[in-house]
Amino acid sequence: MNNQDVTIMGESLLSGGGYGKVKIMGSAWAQEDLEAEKIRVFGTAEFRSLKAGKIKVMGSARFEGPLNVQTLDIAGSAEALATIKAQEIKVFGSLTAREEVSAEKFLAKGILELSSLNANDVRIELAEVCRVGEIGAENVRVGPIGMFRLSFLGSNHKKILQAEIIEANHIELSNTIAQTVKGNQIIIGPGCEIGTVEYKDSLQVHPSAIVKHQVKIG
Amino acid sequence: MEEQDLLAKKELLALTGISYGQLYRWKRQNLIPESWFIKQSSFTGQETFFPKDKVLKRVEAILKLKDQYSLEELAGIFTPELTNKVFKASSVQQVEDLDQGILSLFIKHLAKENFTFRELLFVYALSKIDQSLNLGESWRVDIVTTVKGWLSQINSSDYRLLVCQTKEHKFCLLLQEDSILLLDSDSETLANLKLNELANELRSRLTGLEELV
Repeated sequence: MNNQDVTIMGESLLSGGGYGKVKIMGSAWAQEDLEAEKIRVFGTAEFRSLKAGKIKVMGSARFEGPLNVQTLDIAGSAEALATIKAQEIKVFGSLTAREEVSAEKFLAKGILELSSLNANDVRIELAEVCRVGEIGAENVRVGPIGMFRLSFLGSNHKKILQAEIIEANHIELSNTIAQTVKGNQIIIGPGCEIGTVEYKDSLQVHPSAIVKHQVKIG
Repeated sequence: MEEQDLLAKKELLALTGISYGQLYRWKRQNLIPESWFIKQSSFTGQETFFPKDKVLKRVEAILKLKDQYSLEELAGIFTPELTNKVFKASSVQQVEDLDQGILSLFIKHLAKENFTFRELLFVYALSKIDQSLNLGESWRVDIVTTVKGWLSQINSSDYRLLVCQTKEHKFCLLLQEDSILLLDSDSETLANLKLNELANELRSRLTGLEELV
């Protein structure tokens, strides 16, 4: 159809409608809803409601309307004011979202500031401080980032996840501060401070972790 | 507002035997509407509750049907197009651009507690007309009873709603969308609204509104 490819080098308004591949090197903003097969943002971009196959953000992007996407890769920074629905989300840079983020696979190795995350598999490798209001999932794994990574900020730098509530069938946490953790099989690793743990099948708590209350359900 | 029975998330899982993972997956797939997740603070912090009867019925239905249909098909079954939905009078009163006076006339004259999408479409259209032409109270009553008659005779929104004037007399017409209207030279058209266009505007205003299944 008329799904044309667009490259924006300077500054430009993106008019609404359907696109093929969109490459933004300069800065672009959309005042209408968009659909695109693939979007790559090297500069800065602002979108309203957006539906896309693949989005890669190396620069910075702001999503003011609901975002519906197959795969979302964030190496730069992204901010979403509305919901994000995706198959797969990878965050190496930073992602801030005010509404629910939902995906089948969610992997983060960067900075997170989310109100609510709903995914099948959640894997968070802590390189920075991450804050997530609530996590609901099938599997949740939170741990330190690979040990061979160089850390320029020194070991004093706090790398933790702060969450209000984490609910999933299988949960494996370390360096996590949470009020409530609920699940079937739960492993609370080193560096954790948890208010209440509710578990159904099994619970393992690392000697250095703090769990104030633990309850076995049914 | 009526008090509805709520069920805590924990009790829901215990009663139905589903897991957190399943619950969240169904939420992602729109099988359980977002609006059913009601957050309330409790002594242990924040808890999520559900409207008890609705959610138990829904979970039971999903469990029964999930082997016959894909999750996508199920989402279609449970969340039909907006045009098939029925909305509670109490919740549509919060929608912007629906004139409260006209809404209450509909409630009175059609003995309505719930609105279908098409009924709301007329409320919306009349609100627009009234706003721009300011036709007065007696006209409103007349037009609401007229619309009541129209609604039973139409089964799509492929119509145009017109307000015309002949000398001092104003009247409304409902025409099929693509038909042409030619008036005599003493008459003029004051308003001409395409219901299909209004339906698109209204749709965005109604999404997220609590519907009655």
